[in-house]
Amino acid sequence: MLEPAKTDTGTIYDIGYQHYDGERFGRPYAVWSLFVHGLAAVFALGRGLKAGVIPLVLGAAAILPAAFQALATAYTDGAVELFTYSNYFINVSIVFAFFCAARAPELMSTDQRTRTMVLYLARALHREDYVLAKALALVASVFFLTATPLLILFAGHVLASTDLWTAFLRESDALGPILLSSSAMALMLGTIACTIASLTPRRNLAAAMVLGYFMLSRVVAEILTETIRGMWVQWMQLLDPFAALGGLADWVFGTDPALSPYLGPDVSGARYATACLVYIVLASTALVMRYRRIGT
Amino acid sequence: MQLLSADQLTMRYPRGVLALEGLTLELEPGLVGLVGANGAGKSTFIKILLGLLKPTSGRVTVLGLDPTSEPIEVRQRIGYLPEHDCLPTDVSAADFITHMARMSGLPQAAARERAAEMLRHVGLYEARYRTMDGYSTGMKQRVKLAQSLVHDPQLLLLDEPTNGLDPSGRDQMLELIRRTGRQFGISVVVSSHLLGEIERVCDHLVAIDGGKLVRSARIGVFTAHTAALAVQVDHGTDELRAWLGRAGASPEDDGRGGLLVPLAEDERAYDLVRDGATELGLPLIRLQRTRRQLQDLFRAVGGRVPVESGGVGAQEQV
Repeated sequence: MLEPAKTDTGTIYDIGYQHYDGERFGRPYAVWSLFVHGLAAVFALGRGLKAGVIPLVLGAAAILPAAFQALATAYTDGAVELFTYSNYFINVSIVFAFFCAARAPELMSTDQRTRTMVLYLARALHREDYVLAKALALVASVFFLTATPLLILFAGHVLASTDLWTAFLRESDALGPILLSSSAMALMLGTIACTIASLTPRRNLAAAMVLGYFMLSRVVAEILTETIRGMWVQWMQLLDPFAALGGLADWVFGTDPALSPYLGPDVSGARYATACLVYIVLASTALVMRYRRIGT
Repeated sequence: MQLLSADQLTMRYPRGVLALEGLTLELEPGLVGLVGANGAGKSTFIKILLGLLKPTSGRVTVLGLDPTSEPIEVRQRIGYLPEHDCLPTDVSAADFITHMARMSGLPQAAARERAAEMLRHVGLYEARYRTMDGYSTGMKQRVKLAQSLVHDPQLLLLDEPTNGLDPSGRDQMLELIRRTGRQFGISVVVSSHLLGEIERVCDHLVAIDGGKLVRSARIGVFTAHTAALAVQVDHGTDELRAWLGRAGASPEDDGRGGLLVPLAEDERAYDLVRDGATELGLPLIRLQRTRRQLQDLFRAVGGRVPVESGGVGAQEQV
């Protein structure tokens, strides 16, 4: 529309320009607004039903197993226990991988393709604010999907008992580890997925790269664990970020090392915790470095 | 208050390209045109003013603030329109501009209200809830102008705002810019490689070339340097050229068998051409006020000829 209707706009112009002398917030407000905007983008809120299907389905897939487990615990009095606090992430890891692959490009690649970032940088934001607000939006979204199922499991354990208060006190020891393991999971997946997705402005390619990384790292880790002998075997496992998280979860929930695929007499859980921390630090650093290089 | 100043501003990119070289200038509030060929350093200068690029050396102030040390404070007071496409496709103009207003610190309610107001100002009120993937180039350009105004800046930096627009879109954009500067009391720095556009809206002109200041002056000074008379005679062009040369008018070939006679403010050239044609008895078939090309302007005021002169400042009839 090239506005042949000049008469319309002409009358509209006459309303005149109003200067704004209301409140102006600074950088923290801009960062917070961008973070909230990112959350909405991850769950495709306000983008119509069609755009919301993928995050909704994947979100449900991440949470529903916990709900089924909670029901099973209640009806079978704890006899059926497929999902535990510590094995939950490993068992549904594929769902989290898909969720990150589907949503990280929305945050990281889209603005690169449309070259919108410069409009943010011309406002009350620094480059680092921009990328961290976006990455934290994904981390917070993943955290919602990791903490919720564990809390549902927790609720299942408590509600299965007749004496709720005693059951709550008995189970409350798990709350700290729930918080710790779900935030570790969210930080790790969120930062890794954002870093990989930020490498390309093409969303589909970014999604394939994120998913490919999570899938391949597992395959590579397994092949290396099988072929290499000796002291390096345990370290090779850490190439798979989900294995690092699995070990961390087993450790913080105090899983019996005999039953854990990760822990052993000579393998301490601290190794997995350190690995997770290294992943988070490396991925965040790489992400910030990447955004220093993106031209405007 | 001073609008902006640059003192020995030099910008060398990491790969060694020298984009600005000792640029020194001071500007008062108003409508300022920044003119130069592609690659002259216009965009680099604008990005330094925004604090998006750190100059290699030299000092710069914008609205009395230093963008290298207080970038956020400066950007809160500036609106920016980049030269390239920069709009997301899957959101509506209203939502996008509201979001941009929040990025400048406006509360949600005010952001929404001002976004609608700015879209009305640029004539997109009706289309504001449509997603922007269906917008024409002209509409997108106006959304870019609206987002640069939404936080009520004191200064607008418009980088090639007429790029890619057809003649009527160009006219409307220039008119919007003129209104913004004149009626809203917002200072505007608008860059272009087309001198004619700048002349229509600006009252001050800065010409840069090869990263150096060629001239910073009121618009009239430039017009004096570029206004010319296109003269064509049926025959005897050489005699007329010689006659005019003796009379002190320094005529040039226009490259099409005619002459270009520089037109000073006293407009004496008209009389000279008439007298010359009469005295030599030559049939005058064209006498028209025109404008010399941008490279002539650079030559006239002491700069070197821009490297890329193709299509730059194409001859315009006045």
